Amino acid sequence: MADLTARALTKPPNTNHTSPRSNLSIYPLNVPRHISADGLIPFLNQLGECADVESLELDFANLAKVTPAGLVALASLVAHRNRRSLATQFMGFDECCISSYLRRMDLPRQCGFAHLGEVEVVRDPKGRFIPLEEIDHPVDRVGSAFAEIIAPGGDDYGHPNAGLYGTAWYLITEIANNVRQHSQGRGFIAAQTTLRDGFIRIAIGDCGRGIPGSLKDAGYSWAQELTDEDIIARALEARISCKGSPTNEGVGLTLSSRLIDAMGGNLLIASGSGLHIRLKGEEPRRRGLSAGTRFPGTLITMTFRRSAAADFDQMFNKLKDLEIPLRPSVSPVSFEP
Amino acid sequence: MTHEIHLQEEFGSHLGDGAEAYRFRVASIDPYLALDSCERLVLDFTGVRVANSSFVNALVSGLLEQHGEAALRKLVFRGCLPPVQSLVQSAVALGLTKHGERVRART
Repeated sequence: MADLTARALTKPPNTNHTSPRSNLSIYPLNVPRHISADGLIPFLNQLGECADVESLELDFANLAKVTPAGLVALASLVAHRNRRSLATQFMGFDECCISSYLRRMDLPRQCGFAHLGEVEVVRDPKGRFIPLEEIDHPVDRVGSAFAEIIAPGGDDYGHPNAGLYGTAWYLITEIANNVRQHSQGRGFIAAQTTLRDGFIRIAIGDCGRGIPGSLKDAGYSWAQELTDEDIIARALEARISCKGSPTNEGVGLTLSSRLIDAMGGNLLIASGSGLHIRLKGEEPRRRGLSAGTRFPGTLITMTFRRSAAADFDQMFNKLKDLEIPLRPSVSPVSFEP
Repeated sequence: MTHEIHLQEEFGSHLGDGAEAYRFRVASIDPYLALDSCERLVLDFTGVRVANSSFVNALVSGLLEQHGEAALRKLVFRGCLPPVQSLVQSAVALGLTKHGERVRART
């Protein structure tokens, strides 16, 4: 009975959805028990398979663990479907053992199912979880809000959390800018800090054209001939990824990926049918999602240790030695204190 | 004549929006740099806590791309924290590279 009620109530507002009682064929997707670490890519494959089906039922009954990347992927998928007026329903929400967590993370409301999420969304004062948020305002404000939660007090340059604040702000704003540049769609961000293992997880995603789609649309001849995973890899070489003004020539995404490398962190980019994975101590890997599946937009998720991010200035300085555009000018530049 | 631009007053202490920086450069920096009577143009970052490459490249690279090394004889960057200074350096390098490409394309 609970499910039927949910189905009747879960039509996103202001969209032209067909009644769940019509004879549309419904695609059922059982959200897996764990969407974290090794479970993320299989889940992205699942989402890719059903991204454009006419009617989708997402059953949350088994879900027991989800990272910010899983939340952002879900929100991006639903935004993609809502934009195309495709019917999506949340099922089994009350049976889900982490439904209160999902509500606190604001997943139902961000997906247009506000009645499932009637709880006050409050940021945890200890900064353990940071609710899902739509990137619909200037990125520096998004960056400041999230960085302050990840590194309380760090906005003060002399504060012990100043390095972590700088790192978080930098990564969030560079990637959010990139998402905005490529997306032409709704973007989302979520984050988590765990005091137990000292990890910080940040995920940013959107339901737009994706990096490969954006570069193909921009008319780059090389992009027409490559697979999506190869295009993403090329986008991580600076001076590749945009045309027109104002340009940042792909510098932001490139620097962000190298900064995460320098911290010994992990980075995953899923866009279109391509994946790019950078794990600590390993060569970057590229691969495709399952044959015929595409993530509708872009998902970028990063994990790094709080302690590794503490000295932002020094890490940034180290990047100058890499073959990326943080190399200083050979011509003298005048700086004054 | 020296012209000073105080970025914190214009944008606050967090500089992250490249589109905003681009609009500001075109409207409020380029015209001064083009003036013969402007001998020194100070971009004052005092009070700026953080910046990203989107902002700094949009603000600085285009100046160098358009005016080449001549711009460096006028430009002064004041009050930069170390990461901001790194970003300014690389924006200058990127702008000069692009300026060189433009010159080569014309010849």
